[in-house]
Amino acid sequence: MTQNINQRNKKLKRISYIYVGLFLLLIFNLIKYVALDSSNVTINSYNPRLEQLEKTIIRGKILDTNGQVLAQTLKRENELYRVYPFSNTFAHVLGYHDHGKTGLEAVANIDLLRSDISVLEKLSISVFHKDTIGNNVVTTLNAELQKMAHDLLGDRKGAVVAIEPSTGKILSMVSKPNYNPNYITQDWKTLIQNEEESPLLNRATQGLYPPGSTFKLITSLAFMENNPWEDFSYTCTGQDVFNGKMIHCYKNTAHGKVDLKKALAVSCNTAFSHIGTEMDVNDFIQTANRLLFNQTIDFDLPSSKSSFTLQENSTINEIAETAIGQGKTLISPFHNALIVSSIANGGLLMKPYLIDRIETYNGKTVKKVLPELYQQVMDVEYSTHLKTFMVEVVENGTGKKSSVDGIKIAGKTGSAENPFGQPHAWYVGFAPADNPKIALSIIVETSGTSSANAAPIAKELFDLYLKH
Amino acid sequence: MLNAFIYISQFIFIILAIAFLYCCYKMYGLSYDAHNDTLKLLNKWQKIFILSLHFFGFVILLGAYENKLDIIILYIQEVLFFLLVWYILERFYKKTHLLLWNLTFYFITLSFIILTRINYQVGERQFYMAVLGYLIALILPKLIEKAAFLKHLSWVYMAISLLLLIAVFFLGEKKGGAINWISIWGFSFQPSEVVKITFIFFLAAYLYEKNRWIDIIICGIPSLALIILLVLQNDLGTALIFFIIFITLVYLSTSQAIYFFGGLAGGSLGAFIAYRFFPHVKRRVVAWQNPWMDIDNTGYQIAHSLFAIGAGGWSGYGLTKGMPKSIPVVTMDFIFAAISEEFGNIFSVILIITLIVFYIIIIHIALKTERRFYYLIASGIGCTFAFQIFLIIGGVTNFIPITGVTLPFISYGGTSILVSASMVGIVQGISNMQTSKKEGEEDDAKHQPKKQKA
Repeated sequence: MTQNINQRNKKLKRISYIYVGLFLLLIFNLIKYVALDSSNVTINSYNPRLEQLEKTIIRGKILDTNGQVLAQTLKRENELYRVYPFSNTFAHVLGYHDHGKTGLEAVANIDLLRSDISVLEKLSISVFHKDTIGNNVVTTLNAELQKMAHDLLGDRKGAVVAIEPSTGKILSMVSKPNYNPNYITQDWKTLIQNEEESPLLNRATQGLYPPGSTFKLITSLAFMENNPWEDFSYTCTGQDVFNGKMIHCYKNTAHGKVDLKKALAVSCNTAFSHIGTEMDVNDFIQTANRLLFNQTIDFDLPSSKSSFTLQENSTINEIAETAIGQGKTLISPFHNALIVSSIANGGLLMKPYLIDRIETYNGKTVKKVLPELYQQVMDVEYSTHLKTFMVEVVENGTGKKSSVDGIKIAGKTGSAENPFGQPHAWYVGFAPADNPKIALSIIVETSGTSSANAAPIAKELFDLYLKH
Repeated sequence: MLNAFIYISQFIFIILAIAFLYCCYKMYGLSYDAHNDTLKLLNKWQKIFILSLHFFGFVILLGAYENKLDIIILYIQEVLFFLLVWYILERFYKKTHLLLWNLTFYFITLSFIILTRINYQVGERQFYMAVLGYLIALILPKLIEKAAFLKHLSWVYMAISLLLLIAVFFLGEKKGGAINWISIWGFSFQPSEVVKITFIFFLAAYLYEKNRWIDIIICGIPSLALIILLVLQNDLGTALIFFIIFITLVYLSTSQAIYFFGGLAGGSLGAFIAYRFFPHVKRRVVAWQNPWMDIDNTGYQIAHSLFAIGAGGWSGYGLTKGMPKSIPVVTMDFIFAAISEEFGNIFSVILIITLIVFYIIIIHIALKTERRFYYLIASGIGCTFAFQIFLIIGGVTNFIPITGVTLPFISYGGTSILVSASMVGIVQGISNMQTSKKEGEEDDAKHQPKKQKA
């Protein structure tokens, strides 16, 4: 009988292990949720707790990389005001915080509304009825650089993006026209009605433009990766016909006999159309996709997908146009900055980021963001060649206007055809070429040539960032 | 000052929970006679921890709410209730399984605090239902001990079960998506809760001496009918519980794994069919896979539950500081989310562990029960609690699709607390029998199954 009972109990114990196992899974799942997933869930705009927090906590500051205040909340007569000392300068990247939230105000919302001070401090706050102050967000942005870029663009529409190539830190991100976040409530109606200029749109990440000649970097890369490019040679007569499509060089200048380096330096359209039509279109597609075309880029702020539309059966004239950055290709200034940044960094694209660390209001680090590899987008061999070509662009080619005394600069100009007027002027580049500290992507809408409109901005920014 | 107190109390609650759990660990396995001094001491400490939890909780509620007199009166009534039940248990039931009862008190204290915090009226009603529930639970052990005829009533239990569930179709009211309430003479109750007990009794009474395959089929057909009735009433959680209890008890009775795994396979098939053909089942699975896709609609409940749990973090917002009222059906199905938000998830994890201990204690009693009928009942009750707790906490934390069942002793619900307390009373009765057997007062041989067919 005892034996029967023992046998019987063995079954019950076995069943019990299953039940206890289920409970352990519950615990595991709960811990995982709280530790890993909940922070993303809490910032969901449907969460009614966020509104509650806004009322009880003084929103933390947003700081630039050197500790300059970019946004802070002040209390006057028991009313809270969000103040942006730099007014328009950081408009899109910081975002606004009334009328919904955008930019960093949205991305870091929960950090700004949390307080990670110590247990004792919390206790003293609740005993003495002091205000709880949210964490500060220290960004990767450089206020001097941002201000300079903002001023240089002036009243022109366009965008500037600056990245530290070795880390992926966003040093500056300007979009024009913009708005003054201090008066967002007063100006709201005019801002949303201005559809023509769309001042609320962050052109840096969400504006899409034809890449113009800056795309020749990608054409060169695709060509080098798949063809014996050292032997390449082409004789430019200022224009050429591809399957009935006439391609001109700028002002119909005949560049004569060019190799790849020379072709890029003088931005020879016919040579690149020729290169594009000579190579296998599948190689071209593959390279473009590797460089993040037609993909959403993983970044704090929302960004538009750049598009590269060539297909296996694309016509010769489409390919000829695409190879020189016209046609249907579209790119955001931010994406173009990432591409030059990866060239600067030996083919390794670092994950772009805006938040360097989260600190308590009294300066203790709560969370530090470390640079992360996004992916390798090209072999180091080709990035070195592209770098050499780009140095040539600045020293002897179309990019002379961006050169700074005593600093070796790598760059590429571009002008994107604009059916509504003057072309959009592009400039992408980085410096110092041998040890890049800053990569730039600049677009000035409807302005004219790059050397007159975009390259000079680059020169000033390189100068400011590297010399001061 | 209140804020500071709330802040400190978050840590006090966690410490009390750990201390209570530690006593559980120490008491486990000690024999339940009146002369065990260690046991008495640990029991005293557990009572202190429960009363402290209750005290700190109500001090905060008193500070935070306006209806101070109501809260004080309710508090005093609840303390008197605890003291009275402890007194009766220790005075009149010499073999009381103190740990089992203390666990239920721990849960119910938590229930009193959080429900009164959410809504005073709800807390008050929960208290009165608890009084009624424990009244029944205190009578049941004697009844179970004395009533030897209970095991001969198998088809009576089934008849009652079927009648109750069919009655829902004629007298039923819809609450929270499921039609599972009956109102009689102004009292509304949930038949499916009551049927949990009659169903376990049916299976135990039927299976304790019959376990040929044909017997399994004979008792399986009406069991399946019950499950289908529950599915039709959209009470999916209870349907699942019944199904799991059926395969568990059949496995325990026959000792054949094929019933268990065959049952699981059949159940999975049934769940798949339900998923395909019942839109309300499909909705829950969709919400489970991605609650964020449609927060306004299908994902609403689970999203708000996850908001609350996430907001609580490890140490919680502090009692009265969270927003439990933003969680749908918070007093019943989603009570766990409210606890996570205000008491924090360290506390929640300890609560889950304490619930495991509660289950293990019941299984421990089952293991020591020699008579098969009672052994099956104790096992069935233990597994019902365990699976129900798993379903609702798993649902609320989005580990599994949500099925609306209550968290025993903690969720608001008159029928739920009556049934949960009764089940503990029954387990206590079963526990009493084995101790009397040990002292040789009763010969048990004749209650063994006639012949086991393996």
